[in-house]
Amino acid sequence: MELKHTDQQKNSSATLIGSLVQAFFNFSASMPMLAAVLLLIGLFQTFISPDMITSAFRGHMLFDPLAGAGIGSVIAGNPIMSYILGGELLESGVSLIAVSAFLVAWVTVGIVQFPLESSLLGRRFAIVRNVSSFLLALVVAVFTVVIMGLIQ
Amino acid sequence: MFLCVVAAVYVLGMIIAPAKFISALYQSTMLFIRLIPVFLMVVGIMGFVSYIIRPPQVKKYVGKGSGITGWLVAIATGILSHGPIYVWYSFLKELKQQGMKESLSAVFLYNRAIKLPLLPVMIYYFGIEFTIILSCSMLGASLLQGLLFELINPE
Repeated sequence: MELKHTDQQKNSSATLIGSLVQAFFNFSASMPMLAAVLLLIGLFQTFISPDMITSAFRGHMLFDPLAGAGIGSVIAGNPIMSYILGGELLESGVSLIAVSAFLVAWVTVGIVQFPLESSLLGRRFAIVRNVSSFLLALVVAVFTVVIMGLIQ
Repeated sequence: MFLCVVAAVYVLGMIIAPAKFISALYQSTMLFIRLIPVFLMVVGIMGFVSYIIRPPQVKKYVGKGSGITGWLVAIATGILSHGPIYVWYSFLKELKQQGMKESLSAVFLYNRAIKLPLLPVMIYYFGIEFTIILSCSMLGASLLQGLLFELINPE
């Protein structure tokens, strides 16, 4: 009976190891695409400076939120960067709605990772998710600022 | 194919502006190294989940008929998940193959935007009221996106 229990334990460990190995190979299958995404992110971080981002905003009530969501959709990187850039944009006079759209789009929309998302989760899913996330970034931005205006 | 295109851009760029493209390659390499622990974490979670949770259980919790439980699981796991969004695509693909609803995949991915460890940074730059309202709004937006997927893909 003791031997049987040990065999069961061995089988359990082997199955867990097997699951981990399988997971590793499944994940590795996406590595070429992932590498491409990381290379693109490197390009963005090198060629797009904070000054370039700030200069994209014109002080226009309708254009700036669209610009904010658009830029946030394209840029990829650590979300902390979006907070730092967002703070600088606010200080330079960009509207809170535009900055909010920028922050939300940065973390919800992914043009750079679209090929990877499309290949793994389906093109239709990737398109619907990213387009609706872009639109929702604007909705969330307007809603947030309106609520803040009401409570202040 | 996509990697080949990006690699070709780098090769051309190395000829035209070598310093800039070497810097870009360095940034990408450092990013990859920083993400290795996250990759290992995701592989570990993928392996553990596939070992512990069988397809009928996936369907029960996040599949067709999972109801409000599925939405809560997607929201909670999205908020608690760590690392960039693209490292989670493989995990979601596996769950999708085991019966996870598309709408809940979308809810998971949207709620990843609510980054609990980074909330103090957001509070520092924008204030606590903005942070709370924005985070709650994004949670609401995730539900809207999930409902959109339910409408276009009734399961």
